[in-house]
Amino acid sequence: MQATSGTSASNAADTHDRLFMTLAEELKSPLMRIARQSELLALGNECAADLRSVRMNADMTLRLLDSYLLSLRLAREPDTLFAVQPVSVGAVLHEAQGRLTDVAREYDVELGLDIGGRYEPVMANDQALTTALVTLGYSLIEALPAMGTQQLRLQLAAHRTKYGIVAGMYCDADMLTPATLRRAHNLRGHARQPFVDVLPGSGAGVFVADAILKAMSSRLRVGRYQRLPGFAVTLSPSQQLQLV
Amino acid sequence: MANILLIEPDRVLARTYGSALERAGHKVQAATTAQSALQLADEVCPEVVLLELQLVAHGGVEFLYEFRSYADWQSIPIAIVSNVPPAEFNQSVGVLRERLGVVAYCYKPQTNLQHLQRAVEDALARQPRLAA
Repeated sequence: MQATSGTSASNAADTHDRLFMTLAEELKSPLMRIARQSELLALGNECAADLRSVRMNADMTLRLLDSYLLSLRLAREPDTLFAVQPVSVGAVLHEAQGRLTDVAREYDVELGLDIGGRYEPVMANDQALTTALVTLGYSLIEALPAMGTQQLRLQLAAHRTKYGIVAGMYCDADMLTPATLRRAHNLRGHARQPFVDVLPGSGAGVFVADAILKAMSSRLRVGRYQRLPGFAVTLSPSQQLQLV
Repeated sequence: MANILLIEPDRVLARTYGSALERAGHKVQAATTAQSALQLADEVCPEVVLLELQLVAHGGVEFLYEFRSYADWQSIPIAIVSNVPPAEFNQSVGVLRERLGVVAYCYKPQTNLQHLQRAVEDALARQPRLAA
């Protein structure tokens, strides 16, 4: 029994170490942008757009750190800290779209939102679900120009399947498949670029979003919406409210 | 003044590098992928190439081999400006220099805009000599 709990504690520590390594690698990018943009501003090329970009990069860094900390706290004390309750997927996607708008503009990425119909509430933690989707969105928006896709568009969408309500973010990235995600999970923390065909960085945003969702007993998976591949999470409808 | 081809997947960083180098009198064309960089190289005839190794799909090293396979582009100096620490290339520095004509290696987190400018000036002064 002791050996089993020792092994599981060691696996958990390894998972955390690997997540931390992807995060540390990822944080270099916004910090580099801030450092170089500040240098440029100091050279006298000051304009409102540059200052706004510096501030936005600093905000992105802080939000990624906050999301990472949230994933750690959720993993340690899921029940005491974050209650799962009926949540509207449409409202969460709408909120995520609002929070991603400025970053999307900076990267010339068009954001789309398609909620499609009326869905019953799902069982989730509102704050955690929103944070996971926003973190994932940042990661994809940053990566879209580097993918060489036909159109710089990120589609936020919800749809119903027999397994539940699916909330996801989709883009014109044909190389994104379930195998890509599986391989990236294995390479996480070991390779500098685990999503080699999809994301130029360490993919920390994807892994942090997955860690948050995992604490709510969901997982990020690769899915398709209107033929566009993307990352999605399937959420269980609230049975209680269905009866009402 | 030189024609610079900048291959950088981070659009915001590419914009910042571009502004700094243009301020120093250069003309900068930026690409985010290896494939678009090859097309752009054909159009703009660069005098220097600045290359990030961590690209999506086709990596920087693949780009180097493809780029050097064209006779017209064998004497164009290439400087690597990458997130990958040079220590990870210890075993293959010779290949990068002699076979692929890399004239400089800048580790991006420790390369400020002044260093980048200097790397471009140095690269312009050096013609790579490719080993057969």
